Amino acid sequence: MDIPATPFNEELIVRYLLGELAEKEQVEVEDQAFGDEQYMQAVLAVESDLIDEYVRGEIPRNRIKQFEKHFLGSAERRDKVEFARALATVTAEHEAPAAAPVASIRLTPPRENVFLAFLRSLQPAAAFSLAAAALILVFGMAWLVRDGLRLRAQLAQLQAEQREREAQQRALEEQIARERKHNDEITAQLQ
Amino acid sequence: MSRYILSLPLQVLYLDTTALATTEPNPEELPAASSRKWSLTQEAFDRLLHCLSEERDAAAEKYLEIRRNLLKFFEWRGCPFPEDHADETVNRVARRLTEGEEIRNPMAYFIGVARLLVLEIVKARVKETQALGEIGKSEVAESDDPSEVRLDCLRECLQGLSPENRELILAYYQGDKGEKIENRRKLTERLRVPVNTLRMRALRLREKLQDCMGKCLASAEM
Repeated sequence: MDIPATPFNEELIVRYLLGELAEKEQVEVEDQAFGDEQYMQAVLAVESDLIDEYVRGEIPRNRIKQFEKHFLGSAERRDKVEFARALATVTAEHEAPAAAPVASIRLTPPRENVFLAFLRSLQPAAAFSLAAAALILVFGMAWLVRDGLRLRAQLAQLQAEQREREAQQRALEEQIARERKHNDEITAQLQ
Repeated sequence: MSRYILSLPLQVLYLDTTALATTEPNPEELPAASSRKWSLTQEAFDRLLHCLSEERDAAAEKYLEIRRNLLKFFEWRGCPFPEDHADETVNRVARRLTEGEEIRNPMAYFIGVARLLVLEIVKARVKETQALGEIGKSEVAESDDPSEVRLDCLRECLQGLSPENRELILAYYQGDKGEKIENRRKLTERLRVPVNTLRMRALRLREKLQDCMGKCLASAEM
C-alpha cells in the first residue's frame, strides 16, 4: 500500500482483505494467489501494511470498522496485530539509528576525534580565536620552559663560582695560619 | 491489545460432509447438519496423501502446502478459527476420497470445499447473531500498549538477526506514513534493489520475527 509501482492492484487486495469484494472477485483474487507465488507474497505484504496502518492509526476512518469486524475475526490475525504493535514500539525506540542509512552505518568509523568534532561544531570566527589562543598558549609555555632552563644554568654556575671562592678563602686562611705559626717560631728562636 | 469475542456455534466444525459427494463441491447441495460425525482415519489420510503424490515425501510436502494455503484462505475470509476450519476441510476431502471420489486438481478441490465451509460458517454466524439480536456486533476490548513480555521477546528476537537484517527491518518499518514511504524509497536506493524485492525481504524478516516472538511468548508462559 505504501509504495506505488507494483505490478499488482493493491487497492483490490486491500478490498479483498477487508471483505469488501463480491464473491466472484474474491474467488479471482484467491485463485490468483494460490496459483502464483508472487501474487501470494503481494497479498501477504499488503496484509502486513494494512495491519501496520491500523496499529499506527493511519487507516482511513471509514475502513476501521470493517477492519475490526472482518479482518480481526481470528486469533491468528489478532496475534499479527499484537506483533505489529510491538514492532511499532520497538522501531520507535530505535528511531535515531534506524534513520541513519543502512550502508553508511557499516562505513562510519566507530569514534570521531572529539576535539576535531568540537572545532567543527564552532562558528569560523570562534574557531579562529580559539586556535589563536591555543597557539599563544603553546608559545608562552615554550618561552617559560626555555627561561627556566636558562636560570637554572646560571644558578648552577654561580654555585660553582661560590664553591671555588670558598675553597680559595680556606686555602688563604690555612696559608695565613701557617705563616703566623712560622712567625711565632722565628720570634721564639730570637728570644 | 484488541480482544474480540466473536460468536460461532461449535457445531459448525462438525457439519455433515455427505453433500460433498460430487466431483466438484457444489453449494446448492449443502446439507442440513447431521448428527453423524466422521473422523479422519489413518487409512483415509494415507489415501489423501496418495492422491497428492505417489511418493510419500512429496505428498507430505504438498499436504503441508495445501494446509498453509487453507489457513491463509480462512484468515483472509475473516473466519474465526482457521486451524479448525482447515482441519475440517481436510476431513471432508479425505472422506470424499474414501467414498471413491477422484480428484484431478487437489489444490482447487480443497479450496472449493473450503469455500463451501465458509458459506456454512457465515450462515451459522448470521443465524446465531440474529438469535441473540446482536447482528454484526462484536465486543472489542482495546489496549493499545503491547505487554512488556511481548516487547522483551521482540527485542530478543531482533538481537538474533544479523546486524544488516536488523537495521533493514527497523529502517523499513520506521516513521509515519509519509516519512515511512520516503525511508523506504531511500532504502531501495541505498541497497540498490527494486521496491518489491525490498518489500519481500522485509516481509520475510517480519514473518521470521513474528515466529520467533510467538515461540518466545510460548516459552515465557510455561
